[in-house]
Amino acid sequence: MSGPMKNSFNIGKTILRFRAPIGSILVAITIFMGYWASKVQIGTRFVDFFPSYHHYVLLNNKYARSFGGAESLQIMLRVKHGDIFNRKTLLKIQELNREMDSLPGVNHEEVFSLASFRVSYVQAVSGALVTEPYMFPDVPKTEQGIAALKKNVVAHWDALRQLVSADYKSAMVTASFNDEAIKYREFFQDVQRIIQKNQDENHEIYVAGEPMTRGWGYHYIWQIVAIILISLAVIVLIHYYGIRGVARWWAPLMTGSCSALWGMGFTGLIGYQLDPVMLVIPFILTARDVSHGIQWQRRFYNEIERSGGNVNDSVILTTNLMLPPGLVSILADIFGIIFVSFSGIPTLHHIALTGAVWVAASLTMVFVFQPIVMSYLPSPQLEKLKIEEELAGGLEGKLEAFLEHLTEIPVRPGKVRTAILLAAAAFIIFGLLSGQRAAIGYRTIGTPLYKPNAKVNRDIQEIAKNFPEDEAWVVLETPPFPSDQSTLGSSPLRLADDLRYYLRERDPNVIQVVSFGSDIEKPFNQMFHYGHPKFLRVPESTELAGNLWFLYLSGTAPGEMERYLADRQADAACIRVLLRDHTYDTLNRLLQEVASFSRSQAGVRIAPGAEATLREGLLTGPTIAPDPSLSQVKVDLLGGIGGLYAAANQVLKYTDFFNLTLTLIAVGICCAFEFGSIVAGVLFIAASVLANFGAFIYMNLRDLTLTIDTIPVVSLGIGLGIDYGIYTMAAIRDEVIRGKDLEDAIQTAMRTTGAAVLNTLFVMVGGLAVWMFSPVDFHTRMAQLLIFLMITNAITGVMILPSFVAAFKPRFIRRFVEAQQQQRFQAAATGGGGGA
Amino acid sequence: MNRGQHWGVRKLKRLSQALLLASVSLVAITGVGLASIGLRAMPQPDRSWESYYGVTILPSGRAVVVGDKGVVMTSDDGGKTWARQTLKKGWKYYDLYSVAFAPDGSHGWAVGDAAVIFRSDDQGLTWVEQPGPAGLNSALLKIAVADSRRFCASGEHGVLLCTTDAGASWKLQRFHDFALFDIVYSDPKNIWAVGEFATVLHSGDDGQTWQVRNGGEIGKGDPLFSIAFSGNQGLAVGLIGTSLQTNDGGKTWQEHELANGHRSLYTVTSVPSQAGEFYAGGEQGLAALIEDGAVTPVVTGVADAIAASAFSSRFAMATGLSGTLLRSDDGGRHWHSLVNKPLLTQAQ
Repeated sequence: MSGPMKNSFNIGKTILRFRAPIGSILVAITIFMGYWASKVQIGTRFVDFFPSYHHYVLLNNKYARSFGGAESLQIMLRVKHGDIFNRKTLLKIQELNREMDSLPGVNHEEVFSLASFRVSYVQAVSGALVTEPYMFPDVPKTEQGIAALKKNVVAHWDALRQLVSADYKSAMVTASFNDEAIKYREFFQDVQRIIQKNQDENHEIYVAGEPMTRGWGYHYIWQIVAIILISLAVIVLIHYYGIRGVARWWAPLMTGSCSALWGMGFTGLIGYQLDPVMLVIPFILTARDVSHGIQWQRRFYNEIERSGGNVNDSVILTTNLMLPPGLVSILADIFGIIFVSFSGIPTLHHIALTGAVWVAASLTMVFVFQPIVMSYLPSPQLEKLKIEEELAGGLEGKLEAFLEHLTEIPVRPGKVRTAILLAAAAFIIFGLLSGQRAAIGYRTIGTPLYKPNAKVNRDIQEIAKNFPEDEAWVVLETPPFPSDQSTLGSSPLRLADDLRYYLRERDPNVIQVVSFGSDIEKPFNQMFHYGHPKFLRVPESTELAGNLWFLYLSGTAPGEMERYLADRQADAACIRVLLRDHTYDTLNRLLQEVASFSRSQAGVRIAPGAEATLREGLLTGPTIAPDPSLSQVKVDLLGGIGGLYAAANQVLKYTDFFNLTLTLIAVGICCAFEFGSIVAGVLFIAASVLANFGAFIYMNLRDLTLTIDTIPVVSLGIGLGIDYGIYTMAAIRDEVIRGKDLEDAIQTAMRTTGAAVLNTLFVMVGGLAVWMFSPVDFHTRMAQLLIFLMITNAITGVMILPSFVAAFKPRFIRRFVEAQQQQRFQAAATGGGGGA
Repeated sequence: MNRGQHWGVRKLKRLSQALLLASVSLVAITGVGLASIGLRAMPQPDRSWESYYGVTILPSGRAVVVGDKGVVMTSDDGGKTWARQTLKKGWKYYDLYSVAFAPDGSHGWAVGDAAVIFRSDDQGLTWVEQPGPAGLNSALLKIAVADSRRFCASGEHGVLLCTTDAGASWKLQRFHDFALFDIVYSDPKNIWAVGEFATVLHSGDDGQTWQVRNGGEIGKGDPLFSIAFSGNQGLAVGLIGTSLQTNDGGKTWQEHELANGHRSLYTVTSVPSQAGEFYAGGEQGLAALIEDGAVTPVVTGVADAIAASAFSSRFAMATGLSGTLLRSDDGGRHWHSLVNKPLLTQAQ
């Protein structure tokens, strides 16, 4: 027996000895998992997309109940002719407000529009200050009433800029929702119904917001399911044609299906949900499973042919030969995905665990269950007795013929081989450089999940022309009222108002800054002083601010104040920054500006947790002496949807780095064990970099960035692709152990394993190609990326690694050649026969 | 004759060359001057988050505007372009509520929240903080300047602050706890202040002593926000149409309710080109020309409160909340916005 079989422990034999109990257990587990797989739900939990332990997310969760949910829906009503100040349009705004308020899961205290009773202005009347809603409870019935409304809106437009556009042709209705209560499919349908009902020849409706972005996934769910089914059918067809339907062609599909049941069963068992957009990941895992099965089957046929149809020997030998590289390949797959779970982002954690279980299931299914099934079946009847001839007319046969022409290249020293190796070295360097420049987060307005011209993105872009798209909270944490440093003290109120000016003046992405100081205390103070414009300023004392607060409280609905101040202790205030978008640059700029304001202008402390998140280049500018009147005040950031995305950006930055580093180290260690050599480990790390860092070149070229959606796919690509190299290298080693010289071994491995690798490549690429027709742009781009990765990995595995081995004859392969030569020499010396 | 003609032509050429050189030099010097202190004149964008509380026009035609968070803006082309700077006291920026210059146009002061006082000796190009009386922290709402040494300011909590030595020493008095919204010189000797409870105060001795000429009793009368004089005629305006008039230089005042729809006027200024005529601006962009108590409404096109106005012989300016910056070229009859922002009339 050769290399791996020299071990005293014969794994193949052991599996077959206990095949009945092992097989029964695996069948039982598969049935059990099948049951749980039927319980898997398609669903989305918005909060799961963000790192749960990150300071921004914790801050958001702490104050979400008071300051509002991060999931908001925006409906913009735009008139084609005239402006919104006509009764028909105003009635539509009122209707939209009412409809939004009745959507399931809506936070009733967070529904805002001109027609909302919560959107009001302050008015001084004889002996009192009153807050008057603009258009509640009724829409003005007369022309004069509408003209008065318009004048009011124009006078307070800066405070209304998130609800009325600058050209007075668009009005916004916004609402926030409780994440747990949203059922996205129904939600999407409800919103569509509202749009249909209120749109007419003069009124267009545009919709944006996270629930809608996610909701589109559910809209496309059947198209996505169709894509999955078609791509699976393509896999079956390519595989069947690939090996010409030879005897056990169905086996890889069986193991793939069983692994899928394990993976899906685990998902159902743990209670995770599958987001429709993320369904591409289970598909990739299944396709990869099938690929492992194809590799095993290909070797099995070779052994059947060699043994003349002895099933048991062939199963044992194939298991012994394939299990070690298979184990290493699958460990690489697992490591490729498991490390993303450390990001703290629940969605990535779920994908990582599910993916790990799914891929680990391949190990048992392909390398344990498949041999057992094969051992119970009679020998596959190869009509032409030789597998090569059997496959000759199929895809794999053609690939073998194709590779036959290429086998000369690695083993023949010359310009071509040198050029290949030099190009590979250059590609490694270029890939590493591109990896350094990998862009994080969102780069454009709208969602990259869908095409730029998709309805969801057209709507977002149209809304962004007129209104802020996102918001982020800066939270002031202070001692409670009546301390002069409470949120109602002059200095903290002034701090919030100063921040408003600072951001509006400096940051073009900031559309408005809303705070209790700027939007309540200042207008109340003005009205309290006869409406005199010079009193539109922060009250000069805590006592006056407290009185105005009381006046405000007495004239507003319960829960309304919490939009500004967390509670009646007045020890936490929200400064709501309305942003043009949540792109990486916008959020980073905001963090930088708030930090700069706090340190260089206000002399106020940044909360330690928040400060820690700013250390990487966001704490710029000089620090002034602390302001004694703000000594107990902390500026904390960053809540709201903007904070959540900023948290994800920061985490993804190092998740990507750690994931890549750890995966490469893990691949190196596994390969070092498999081939008994540290050099082999290093070689495979280099091969991984070569084959996979091309992903970053591709991403840079295609403007793809690392987001919560793309990270798991890129990670999977890295783990999955290196299999090709491992299988090929193991085949070279095994051929050498069988007694072939190095060149011959390389050529044989390239012909056989290389052909199988290319066959699995076609299976993967064929399946992935179907995803390019997905309505979800994310699927299209990820499919392109994975196809690119699979091809670079295949080239690395089938051509570059053999070229390297032929050129440099690494010791972890050469030693077997030397051992064979020694054996032959001894045999010759003693007059005995040679050979394996 | 020929020689004379040649001489004349040569002289004209030289004169025009000298004029060209002088104007180029002037432009260059002004440019270098502005650049040296980091100012660059630019058209005014829509800064609707910012309010402008004070405006004055210097004899040179330069307009100076003050507003939120220490902002000072100057324009030498009637408001087409503005140079902007922000003044701070220590690390803090305070709202500036009023600006005024001596008749020479060089020496001026700006006052604001927390009793901040800034001084300029170069027509508003550069400013330095001028220390006020120790312990004074009330907002100074208005300043009036007689000459380069004498000026007075009024403010919250009855503050009446005067100096006769350009701020080297101060005379600080308080009239109850009243907010005194406006203070003006009717002539270099007479100072007038108006405020809550229909109060009109007068000083004829550079603010050493003050006499109540109207109101002054807590709880009686609506507040007066602004006062102006045109010769012996004077007009004070206030809350929801309240006004007082005098035709004898302030010796006697008559109450008069303006027919302006019971709305408040926050600023009143005499129109130089029309003796006895006043321009008044107020809430929600309200503006009017007032003569002998007769009110002629003026369309401003804005819906935000007008806080201050200033007239020169060439043009007038009005400023207010939410970035309001208006200019008139016909004595306040018509106004146009100096900000790229849709006007109410345009929107309509």
